Amino acid sequence: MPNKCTNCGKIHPDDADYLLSGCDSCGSKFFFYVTDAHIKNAQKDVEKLSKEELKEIEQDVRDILLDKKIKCGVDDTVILDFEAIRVIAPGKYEIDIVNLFNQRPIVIRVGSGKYEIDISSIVDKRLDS
Amino acid sequence: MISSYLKTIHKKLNSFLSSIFSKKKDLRLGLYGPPNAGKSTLANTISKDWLGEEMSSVSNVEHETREIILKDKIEISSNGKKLTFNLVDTPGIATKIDYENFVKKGITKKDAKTRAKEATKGVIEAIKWLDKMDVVIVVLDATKDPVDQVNVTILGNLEARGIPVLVAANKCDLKASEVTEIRTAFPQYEVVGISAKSRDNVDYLYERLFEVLK
Repeated sequence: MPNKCTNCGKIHPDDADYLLSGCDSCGSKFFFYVTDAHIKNAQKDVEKLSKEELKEIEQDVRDILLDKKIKCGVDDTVILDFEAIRVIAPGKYEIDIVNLFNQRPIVIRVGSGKYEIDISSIVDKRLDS
Repeated sequence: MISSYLKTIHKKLNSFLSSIFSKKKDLRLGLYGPPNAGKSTLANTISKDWLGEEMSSVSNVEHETREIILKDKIEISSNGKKLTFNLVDTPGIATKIDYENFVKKGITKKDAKTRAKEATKGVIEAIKWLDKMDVVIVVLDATKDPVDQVNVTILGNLEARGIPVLVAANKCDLKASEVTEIRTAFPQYEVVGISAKSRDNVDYLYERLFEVLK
């Protein structure tokens, strides 16, 4: 499945190499997962938010989902998958509690596109610590 | 040399004896519910009643509790029976968190955004902790319509996990409170009308807690 870089917006093809090395355009390892059907919408929705807002959201998402206790920082790759939390704008969240209770992977969506984060393994590690 | 040998034996013996006589893990009592229902006020009431000290900060602004707060080894008694548990005060579970609501209540934009972010993290934490609970008091605001997605989802998930539940219909000291509405909405649960703030009917809540744990 293609992934979209949150930093520069480049959509990468279904190829795992850049997930490890970072976006070949800007080096960021923070991606939105997008299905082919959502590529057009994803492009539009991300465009609605300013660069500053996207940066702020990216930092917020990391703060919400990543813990200092676990080895997952700015340099780690985060792929957005499955939806449980929607970030409408910085400081505005919609939470799908049914998905969270069902222990589906934690997900973040920005705007009305299909952008999500799968960090279930990260959360499990945090609870076990 | 002999002294160190004796110390090692003493240590091993202690560990062996404590493994034999140690009790089952402490019971965890979780307080769950939507924001501003009075979970932290109830946590403080319980903690003050049995330990003589408060445990959580309370506020009129929603999402004051944004992290799990624990108080260990609370021993309560009712009708000659005793129960020891670790009390877990959880962040309010919500489906929408908007920093602008905090700004309206006088919080700066920057702090409101941080509060919103922390509150979102708190929702995730509260839900992830649910499986660790042995018994849960779902605290609902009796002045509000009980039938909403948050309340139904919390109760449904507790039932699905087989965790004993007691519903505390809080804020009964307020004129607008309607405990019967909560009873009608959730007839399958034991609903106790209380005021955590003025401590109305809290003793009965303790009594019923023993019953749901039977």
